[in-house]
Amino acid sequence: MPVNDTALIEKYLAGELSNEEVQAFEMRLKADMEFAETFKLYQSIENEMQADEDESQLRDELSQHTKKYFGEEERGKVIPMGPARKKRWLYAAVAAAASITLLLIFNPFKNHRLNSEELYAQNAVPEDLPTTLRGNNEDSLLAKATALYNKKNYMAALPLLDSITRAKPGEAQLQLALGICYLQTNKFEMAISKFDGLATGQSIYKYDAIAWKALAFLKQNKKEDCVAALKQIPAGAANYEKAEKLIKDLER
Amino acid sequence: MPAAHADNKYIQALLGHDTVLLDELYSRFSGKIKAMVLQNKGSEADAADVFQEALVDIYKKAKKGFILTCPMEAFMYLVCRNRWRNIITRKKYNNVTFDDDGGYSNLVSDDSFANAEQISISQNRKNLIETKVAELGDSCRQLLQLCWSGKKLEAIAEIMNTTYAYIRKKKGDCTGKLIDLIKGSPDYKLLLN
Repeated sequence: MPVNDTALIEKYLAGELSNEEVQAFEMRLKADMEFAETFKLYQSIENEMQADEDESQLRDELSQHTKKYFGEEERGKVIPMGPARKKRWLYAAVAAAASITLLLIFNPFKNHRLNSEELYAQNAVPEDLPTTLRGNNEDSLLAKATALYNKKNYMAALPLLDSITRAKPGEAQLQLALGICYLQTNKFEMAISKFDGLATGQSIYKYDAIAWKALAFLKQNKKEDCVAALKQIPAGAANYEKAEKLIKDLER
Repeated sequence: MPAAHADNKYIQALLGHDTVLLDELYSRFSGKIKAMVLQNKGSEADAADVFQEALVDIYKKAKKGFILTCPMEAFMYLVCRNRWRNIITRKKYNNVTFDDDGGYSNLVSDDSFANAEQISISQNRKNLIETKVAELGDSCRQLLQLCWSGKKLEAIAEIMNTTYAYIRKKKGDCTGKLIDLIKGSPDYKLLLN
């Protein structure tokens, strides 16, 4: 299909054609079946795919209820990790994170050996992105990405963070957040390549990136790789003790 | 036009993001859907997806003026059953077929039935588009996802350090590529109706 056709359709739908051009466009729709089909497909795609702010807010709202009414008995069980399971996994992770506090207080499973899944859920707890530091205006893509990320909607935050980091590759915190989005949506290679990018530099997120890389191995049940990565975190790093504890948990 | 059923309050709750009523909706209807999916080769996670996505579909219909004229329980069951049936058909799970109406068939009004069918068709259309979007290159895929996320093209241009004209041209190019991919699919006529 000629590339110009879609450009023309865009202009037509945006109301940017002159009266004569509109007439010519509509004549062509009647006479040129191929063009008419392209137009119809274009409309179908827009119709099915175009979301708005309100829909994404509704999804956030619904996922709270979904979390509450589904999946209770799966908690603590091994949950399959296919892409279709991702959302459930997130709920499980949130639930697991919530129960850590209880575990720390009562520790009823003193001798319970946690599996990779549970250890991952316990340790893979992303920090929120700052919402106020950047003087961002409400409309900016960054504000939206931050809101989605902080609501743990990693799938939706991913394409936004990807675009932002392309425009501002120096933003290490956003690079890290993007890596975490890849990891949470099970795109392991992309995740690890992001973490590696930060781990080899001198960013203040260097050791966070290494810890997340370790968690990416853990999520794939690659325990040895996980431990090897954790051991790169030197004593004195902010997350050293956490890393040591995870190594112990893995070697139990 | 047929009169709204009392349960149309749940449709209003979707439109207004009414937390209290949405909670009531989940508490009243999620159990039955969970059971239906679990009995038909699905997991609890599948059931959660089916239930939530069905609600989003109904919300989209409601934005175009849909009014519920039958009990919500019956309508939810129909929409969720169709949705789950579409998914297992795609996954070709040992040729599982199920046509269980959950005992609701005489409760569903004709226009609700037609609406549920439209939702099911829309789900299949969206699935075809998403399959083809996945075949695009990274830059087109990401740009289209961004454009569909509800952001204005001006805002996208600003954050990507480029111009509105460029973004729109690029969006047109990428949509053109997507349309070519879709036209190459045997099912593409699904999108022409």
